[in-house]
Amino acid sequence: MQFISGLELKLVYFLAVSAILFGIGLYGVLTRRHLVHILLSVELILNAVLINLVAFSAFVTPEKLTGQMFAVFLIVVAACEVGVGLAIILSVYRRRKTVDVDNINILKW
Amino acid sequence: MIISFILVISAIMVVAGRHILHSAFYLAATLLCVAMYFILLRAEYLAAVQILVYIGSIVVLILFALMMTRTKVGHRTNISNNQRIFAALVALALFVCLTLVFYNAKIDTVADNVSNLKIISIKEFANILFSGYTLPFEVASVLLLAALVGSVVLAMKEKTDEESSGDDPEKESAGIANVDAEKKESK
Repeated sequence: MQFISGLELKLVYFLAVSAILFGIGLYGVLTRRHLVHILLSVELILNAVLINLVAFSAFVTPEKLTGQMFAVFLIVVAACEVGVGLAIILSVYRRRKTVDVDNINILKW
Repeated sequence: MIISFILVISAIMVVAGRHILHSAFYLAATLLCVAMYFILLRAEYLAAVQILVYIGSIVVLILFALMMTRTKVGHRTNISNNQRIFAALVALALFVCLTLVFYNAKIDTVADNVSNLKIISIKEFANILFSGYTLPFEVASVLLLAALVGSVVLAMKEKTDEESSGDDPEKESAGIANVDAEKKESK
């Protein structure tokens, strides 16, 4: 890999990238109106955490691979969560005939 | 560096795009960039797994759900302005705090540069996964079973006078995501 050996990529760079992604995902969760959009932003947050974990695993404990194991199980959990979340969204759509978060406010006082 | 540009631009298009279908495809581009980061960090198996499971089943599942909730084709304005500004401020504050913490933390790293990273073969990965992490592995398969059953139950139509006993496309797509994750687990 000679073409990337000229760049100085320390650990902080990967952590900063993961923080950027987390911030963008958080902005998406807080400001979107469509339910599936919120789920997309939650997936973005999860991927930020994945980059963080794998960066730590590569730089701090390369032999024990702790971060990569955590990342594998996190991918499994994210798949389950998206499946169940989309089933919930489908049920909500069938009940209320809308996927606009502002219109789903029965419990709001 | 190029990867990070593409990543940030795709992520911004996910959260700021007008049409949700475009956002789903920008999410796929973001996940591809994350997989490229994994390859850069010497985690090739994780990159392949992520492309297979995340892009191959989760994004497809989201596209199925978009098809089923009958999202309208066309532009719509999303939210009122004051919530957008507060959310941007909160996200920016979180990013600044996180970056400050990461910059000032004294983490003793084994390698200083990304090109000096140690290459771990997949044989050692499999060793660690199946010897040290056997219990989480089994628990993950039970979790997949629970999620499969749960999403099928949640997405079923209620029994009305007609003989609708289930929602087949949603069951299928929930099954697709779980079968892919299980295939990866049993590899």
